[in-house]
Amino acid sequence: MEASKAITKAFVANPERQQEADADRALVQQVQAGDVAAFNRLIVKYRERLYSVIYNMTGNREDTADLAQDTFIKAFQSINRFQGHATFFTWLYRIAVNSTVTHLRKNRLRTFFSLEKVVEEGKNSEILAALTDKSGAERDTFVKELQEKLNDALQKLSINHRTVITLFEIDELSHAEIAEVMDCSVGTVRSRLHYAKQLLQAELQPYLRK
Amino acid sequence: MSQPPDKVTLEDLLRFKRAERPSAEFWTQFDRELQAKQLAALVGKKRWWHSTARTITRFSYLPLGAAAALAFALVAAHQYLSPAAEIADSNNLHTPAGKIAPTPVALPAEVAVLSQPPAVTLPEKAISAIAVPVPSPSHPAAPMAAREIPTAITWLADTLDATDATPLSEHSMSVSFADARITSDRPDSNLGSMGELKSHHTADPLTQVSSPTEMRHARLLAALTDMRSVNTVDPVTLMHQRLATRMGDDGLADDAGRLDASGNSVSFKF
Repeated sequence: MEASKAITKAFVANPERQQEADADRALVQQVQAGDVAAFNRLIVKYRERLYSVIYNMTGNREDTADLAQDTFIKAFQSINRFQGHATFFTWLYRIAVNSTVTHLRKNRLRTFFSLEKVVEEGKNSEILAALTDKSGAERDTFVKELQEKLNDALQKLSINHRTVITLFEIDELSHAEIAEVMDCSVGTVRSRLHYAKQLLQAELQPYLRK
Repeated sequence: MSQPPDKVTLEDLLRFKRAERPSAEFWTQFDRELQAKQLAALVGKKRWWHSTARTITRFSYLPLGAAAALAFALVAAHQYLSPAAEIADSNNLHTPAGKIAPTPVALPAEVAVLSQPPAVTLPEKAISAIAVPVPSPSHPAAPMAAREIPTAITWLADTLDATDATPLSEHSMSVSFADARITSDRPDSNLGSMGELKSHHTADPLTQVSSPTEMRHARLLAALTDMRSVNTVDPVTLMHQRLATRMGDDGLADDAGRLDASGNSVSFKF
């Protein structure tokens, strides 16, 4: 409840997010009225973000696709129970995170990673230039190595810490939104975030430049 | 070309994770699979009562089986205990009230009185009376209606003896209907004047028959004697009789003709 209030305050501060939430609510009402096509619009809107969260939690492309699809199916099946107390995307994220956490706990012993290709653009190219002066195939190899190191470091975190760091650093959710998604307090989110960053810094020390 | 940054932070490294994105073909495949799953979810959507019915069915086997076993045990016990109870009762010369009582009790005393028309003559032979745990008619404490019941029962039992094959309940009904018809045919019948009807017949049956208990005793003893006579047949005698019927002279000659003994072998023709 407190987290919900915090989200509402955050939206008041962020008019863009508020507009987005209103648009989602309208689409959800259409779906609840029986318009299945409206749900397809919600899928197209959120599939990449949802995929990103799940992918960075699992580190596996195939599992991510299945879990994202299952998340949308679950959301579709229970959309009539969505009453609009929270925003649609936090509700959707919560389904995705819960499904992923359950999946990870079930398959704790199975560690198989299949990584997506890094799309080099803008800031990433500059960072790569700072990290290495190689070019061509050697540069690609370096990127691949960095990608694996990042993935390994993330997988060494606990599920809760990995979720927090994914939602905050990669998906750019606010503390309040993460608290809503993970059903915990903002303080817990902050503390988990701090601890996760410490661990990651220790793991990725060779790549950091000060 | 912009200058590379002097420092690389953790946030910068995690930015690479943000850049890991699937290709456009992946999303085409993703949408197709999702649509298939969505359709499957729509088609295969089960109502709450499906799961409830399935749960009930799953857990109903045990009580059903237990109920069947209990029913079987009760029936078996009933079948096993019934003759013994009857014999025990016959030894006590008393029929349990629960077995016989319902029929006469269901018959109101007044109707029972009506079902005794004066035209019907009771036979002189043994009347099998049914012992019912009612107060003795001669007992001063017994009410008037209770005193009438043994009379009705005696007459009813006599009627039943006349047609042994008919079940008791059918008799009760047919007798009641027949008597009601007889009563209604009578011009002097009047349900309102019950006292008159009672006084009309009460003395007849009891004066003609002996005690119902004694008659019942005699009948059961006769049945037991018959059973004993059947059981006392000597089994050896019985076997001899059977052999004699099977191995008559003709049969024996025929069987001997089929036998052939030559050398060290014996053959039999069929």
